Amino acid sequence: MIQIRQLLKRYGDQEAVRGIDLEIPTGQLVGLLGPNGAGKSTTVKMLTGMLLPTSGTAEIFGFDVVRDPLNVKRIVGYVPESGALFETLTGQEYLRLVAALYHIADDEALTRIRRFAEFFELSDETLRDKPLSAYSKGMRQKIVITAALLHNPKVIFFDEPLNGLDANAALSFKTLITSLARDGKTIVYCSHILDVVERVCERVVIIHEGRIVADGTVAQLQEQTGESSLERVFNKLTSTQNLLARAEDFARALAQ
Amino acid sequence: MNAATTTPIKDFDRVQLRALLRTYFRMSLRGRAARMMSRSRGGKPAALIFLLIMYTFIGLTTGPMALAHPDVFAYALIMHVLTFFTVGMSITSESGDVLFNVSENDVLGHRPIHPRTLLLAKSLNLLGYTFLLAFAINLFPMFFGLSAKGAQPWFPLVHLISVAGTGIFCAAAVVFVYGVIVRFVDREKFDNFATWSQVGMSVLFIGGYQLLPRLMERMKGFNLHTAAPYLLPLPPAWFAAADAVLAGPGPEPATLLLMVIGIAVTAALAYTALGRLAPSYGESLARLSEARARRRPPARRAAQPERALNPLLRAWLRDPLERSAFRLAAVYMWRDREMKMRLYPSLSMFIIFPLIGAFSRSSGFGRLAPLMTVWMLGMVPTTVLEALRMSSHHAAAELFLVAPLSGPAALFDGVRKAAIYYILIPCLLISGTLMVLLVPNAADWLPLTVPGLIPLPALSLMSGVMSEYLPLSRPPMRGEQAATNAGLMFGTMLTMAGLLGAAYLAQRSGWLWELVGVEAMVIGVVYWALRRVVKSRRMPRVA
Repeated sequence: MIQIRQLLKRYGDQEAVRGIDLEIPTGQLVGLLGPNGAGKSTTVKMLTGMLLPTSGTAEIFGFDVVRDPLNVKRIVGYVPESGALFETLTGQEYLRLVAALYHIADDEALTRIRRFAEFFELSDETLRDKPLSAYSKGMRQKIVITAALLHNPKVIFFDEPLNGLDANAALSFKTLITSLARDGKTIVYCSHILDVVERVCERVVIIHEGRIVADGTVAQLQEQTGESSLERVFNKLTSTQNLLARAEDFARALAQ
Repeated sequence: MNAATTTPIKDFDRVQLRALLRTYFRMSLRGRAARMMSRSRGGKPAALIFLLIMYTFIGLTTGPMALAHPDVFAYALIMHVLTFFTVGMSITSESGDVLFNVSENDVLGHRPIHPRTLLLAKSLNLLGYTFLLAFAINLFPMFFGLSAKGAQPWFPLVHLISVAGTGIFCAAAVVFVYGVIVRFVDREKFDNFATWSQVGMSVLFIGGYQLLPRLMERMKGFNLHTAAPYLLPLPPAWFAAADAVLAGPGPEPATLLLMVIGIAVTAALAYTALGRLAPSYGESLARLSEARARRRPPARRAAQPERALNPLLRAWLRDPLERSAFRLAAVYMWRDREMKMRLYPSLSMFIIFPLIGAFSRSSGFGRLAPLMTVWMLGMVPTTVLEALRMSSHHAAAELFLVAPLSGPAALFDGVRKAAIYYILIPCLLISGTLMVLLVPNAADWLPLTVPGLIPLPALSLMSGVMSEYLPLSRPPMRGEQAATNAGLMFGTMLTMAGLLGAAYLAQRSGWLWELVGVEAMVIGVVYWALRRVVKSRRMPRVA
């Protein structure tokens, strides 16, 4: 379970996250939404122990992210938006490094890697022989996801996990995360692809300008705002402008 | 519950340490990243191999000094000074990338690694690099050392161990300095502190190297008084004393004291760097990876790239693409921490040479030092251009491949002009001023600088002549900056010595200005030919 109280992050004079309160029970799949720069990634980085909060507290399964970051990191898996990897390593070398960092024995690591490779349709030769720099974007993303799940974490943070995945891999992945949530994993899913969030997440939290502006099921949010879809709910809560009219005006200006 | 949650947390986790060391070792040999334009370079640590060959050659040419039968301490001291300078400079220019690679935080930042384990892995990685370089320099000298007066048959083995001591000292000193900086300096000031501390360390290492000619001057007959108090604060003397104690004529109170100081200081530095400063290292990495605060930049900084708009520069940078490349280079030189940490230490030798002049005004070398600085300025544009060719943002340089450009000439010229405007011209002004102030009878010496200045424009074209130049398009690779600097220094020194000799002879026989005239004509033709080569270069294609 995740408990966040008055979590605040300040960069100089700017507040990226402005005192968030949130509780996520074990086994829940929560969609974390927000426009660009709303504070989603900053929040997630604080919860994974990568960033120090300016104030407030956050606990993951009772471990405080500031006082006990290593225990937090042991039970957390994270797919960063950047998809960063050590590109000179082969896929297998990289995943074995990740396994070693979590004290997974080499034999066990290879078994797990093989299982993920089968799931993501990555061939043994690709994993063993090719440096990650030679992988396509989708293949790299599969490695990033594998690296986040390899140690069987209790809590998983996905930041735009579908980046680069083809339609088949995306479909498999969506099924995977719903199954993981059913198995008791707590999942926080950050994305801009609202229809995916609408379909897979049982709860949606919308952050705008560092604050939570909506929290509930998709149906509850639609009811609260009187809108017919999550996209419209999002637009209503995070934008003051008529986006459709703006886009049409802009397209007309481009054509001139 | 799985394996990850049952193992207790340790400060030094051997399993993690082994895995990290294996990874860093692989990455060092293959290059930190190999993408797109640099794909063909992956897997071949060419720069590192070049550096090792060059260092072995330096050792091979220095080692025969032992054939003049100096005593063990004097010989070992010369070799340790040489090692201290070369290894110290190399490790200083590489350490920023290794210790503070911000993009690495997205890969390892959320993994359960104790900062002490991570810092130890990186320090050992640096140490491995240090050992490679140090052993390359001393490969031949350790055997030549058997000819030193009083050397025991086991001198090579002892010297190898004492050289390892010098390596450990250099690595520990660099990690210690950074450890102190990240502990006491906040995020906003870190970039500048780190850059200037690197420059400072480089100046210290180069300054330390100046011991060599002084020692050789002082050691007439290659005998040195080991109890001299000025040897106490000199790290190379501590490790040379170990050679003398363990593989020389035997322990004397003075050499024993020097050896004990060496062991104690190195142990204290390593313990403080890894033991006391490690916890703040983890926090610092997290802080460094934070987005910078959107504070208003100081007026001076903000104005830097905008200077490109002043009328004089606008006339010089008529091509808009050239102007954009100029701005890009200027911004990276002023704002990018990685670039600053790689570039400015490389330029520190241009600070130290005039300073040496200031401290040795009476000697011939003191008069020559500022003059040599002016002559060595020929390597400045290439040093800057090569530094600006590498960046961890190398993937963004794909932009140049996508854009409808027939060749990289305009981009190269923009970066070249930025190197001239922001670095070369200030260096010229500073060294010129120092020369006038420091050199006795400067009026006699100043004309000698002219033949050294004439080739500067042609020399600034070398990076674009040698290969297709795209700014920020290559990933940083282990040893690349050090190898480039060493190669440049070696080549420029040789050319400079030849030209300077010719200029000196021409001045003495009253032909200096005739020589300048001929040189200007020849260089003019060479410049025209080189520009044609640069302009004929096509955009590199992705393999």
